Amino acid sequence: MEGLGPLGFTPDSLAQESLRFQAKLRAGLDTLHQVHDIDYGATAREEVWRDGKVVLYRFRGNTLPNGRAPTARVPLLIVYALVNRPYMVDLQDDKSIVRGLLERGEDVYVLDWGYPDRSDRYLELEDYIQRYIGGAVDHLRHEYRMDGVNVLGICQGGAFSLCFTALNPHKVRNLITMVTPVDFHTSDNMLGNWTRGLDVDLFVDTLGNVPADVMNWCYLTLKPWRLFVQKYVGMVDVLDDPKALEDFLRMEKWIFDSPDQAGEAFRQFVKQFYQGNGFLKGGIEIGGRTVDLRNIEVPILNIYAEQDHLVPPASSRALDGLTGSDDYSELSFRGGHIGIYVSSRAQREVPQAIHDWLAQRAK
Amino acid sequence: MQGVDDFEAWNRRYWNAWGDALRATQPAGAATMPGWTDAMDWWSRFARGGLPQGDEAVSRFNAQAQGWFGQMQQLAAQFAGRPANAGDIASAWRQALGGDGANPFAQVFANMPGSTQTDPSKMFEAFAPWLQSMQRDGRSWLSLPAFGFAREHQERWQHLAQAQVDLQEQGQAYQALLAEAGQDAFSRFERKLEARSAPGKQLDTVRALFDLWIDAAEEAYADIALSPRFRDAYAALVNAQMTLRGRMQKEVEQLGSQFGMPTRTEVDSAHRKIVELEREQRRLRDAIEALMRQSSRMQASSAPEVPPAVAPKKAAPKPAATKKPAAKATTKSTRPASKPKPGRTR
Repeated sequence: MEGLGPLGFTPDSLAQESLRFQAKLRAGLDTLHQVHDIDYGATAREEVWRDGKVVLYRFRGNTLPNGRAPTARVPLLIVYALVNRPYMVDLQDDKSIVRGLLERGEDVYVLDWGYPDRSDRYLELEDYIQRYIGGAVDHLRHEYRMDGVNVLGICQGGAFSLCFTALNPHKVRNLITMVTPVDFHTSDNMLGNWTRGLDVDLFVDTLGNVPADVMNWCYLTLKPWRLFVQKYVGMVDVLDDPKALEDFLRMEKWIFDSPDQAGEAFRQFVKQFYQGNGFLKGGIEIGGRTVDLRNIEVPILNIYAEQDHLVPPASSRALDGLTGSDDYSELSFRGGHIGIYVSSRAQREVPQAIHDWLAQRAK
Repeated sequence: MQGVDDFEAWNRRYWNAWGDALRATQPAGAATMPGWTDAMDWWSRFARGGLPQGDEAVSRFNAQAQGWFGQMQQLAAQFAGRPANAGDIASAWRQALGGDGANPFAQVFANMPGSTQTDPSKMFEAFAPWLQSMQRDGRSWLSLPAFGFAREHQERWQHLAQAQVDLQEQGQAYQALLAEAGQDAFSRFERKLEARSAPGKQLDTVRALFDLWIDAAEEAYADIALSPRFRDAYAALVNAQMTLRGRMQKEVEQLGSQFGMPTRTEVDSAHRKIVELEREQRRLRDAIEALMRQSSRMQASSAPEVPPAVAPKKAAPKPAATKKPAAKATTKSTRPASKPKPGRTR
């Protein structure tokens, strides 16, 4: 087709492509009705602590096919973001960071924030950081009879974990931050750009809790064509593959399973982090106490994703040099904000890297 | 499954006819896909009925993806097997989406799953009957100076009307930026097509052409969305939405209170008190626990070191000094950690 410009297809190849598209749609009429299980959660877990709607789960590695009891003596607490649900770290058998950690002998706990309702509107960052994370950490310290535990903070949960560690340095033994925003004003941070001029007082005073619909709309509009047009054309590709369709629908379920955001905590987070860029400029106060990252002297592993459109790498990497730790490492992951949990590369690389890093610091 | 069989038969005829039309020698623009939307609507209808998540995904496909992909198929059909340069194709795409006034971003945003809290146009849809009625009834006095016994009501309604006007203005400013992104996307699309004109780089499928447009559109959008202009317009739009919404809520509260209904403000007030009481209760509990621990430690340390057999029957009096540290402990806002026991190491 040389000399025909940029289009290399013929009427015949176009017709063939259309027939393939049609065949996929036809297959979808069956597979969409055959998929019955898109439940999430690959690993057995048990509730070990609760404060209101917030629950701490322990995941059981010995229930896995090649399962075993934890060999790590220090528990690893995973702190997820308030947006979306934490089951992303244990989505399904072959997409589970939790499972990968358990298989390597880690003793894994996940803090589940639950779904805030109207009565939670006045929960503040102090509640989330000192009361809930603090409560879970104290529970583990008590159960394991040790001063500090290992903490893995993810995304906004990473920012919370940094605050918690700065405020309670003796309670954390090793800190891992994953796709965690630190500098909220990098030039490639779209959310940071949009929130900077927002009258967040008016926003929260009007809405109360921030509805999940608003959060979802905001995230979809970060990449409107990819996330709301291209993705669903891509769905047609997997309509004849029940397993792939099941995976697609499970991911859809997670994406749109967003809790409302407690109004006061949202107000404080936007003001102090997105607008004030407090990790860099100072001024973050949690429950009347100033957060100073230089108080963090424990080893830090900072994992970021190279193609992260929500938390750009530069935003995460800004942590380097801000803390008082003399044992700071970075891990660059080739993928995006979601791929770092669910891609096959992530399953191979992320749990192993975390396990190795912790093991080196356990000696 | 009679319906599915009917769909299959109809669909087969439709696709075969379209394939035949494509294979036949057609003048430019003659190969079209009549009934594409109907076909997709029909497919969506039969595809539903499984899991709710499946139905939702089908709805999202039908809301946007099928329409855009159908249009791209039509574009491809116009040029299949014919010499065409990047400019011709990009121009035809622009025409298909509305010509010089095309605003593809507005179309995408309008069909996103939104609610009255996000999309300005949907806010208007939801509130329109009420606002229109108020405007119709109040047009004569909305612009008059407020006075008399109804002065406060009139002022409130004037503010509400002004908020509506503000939102319309901010919505237009935001749409103008989206339109700008759209025009930039067409230019980028043409440049990307140009880059694919070299031998060996040509696009072999409609899907590849579609993906190229997506790349162009996302790049154009990112450029605008990361700009200070967009930051200002976005903030102004959201602030205007919240202002109007807040004033609407006030009106509803006003109405509710007239009938003795509990209002949101009252419910919020109760929730605030509960959270504050809970917080205070936790602090007191923590302080009491700290006191008790401290007291236990002091009792243990002050116990006389004598053999049990000669120990006094009465407990040793507590030293007066215990009060001082206890007072300090009450100022702590978080629960002090229990004394760590010898810890296991990893």
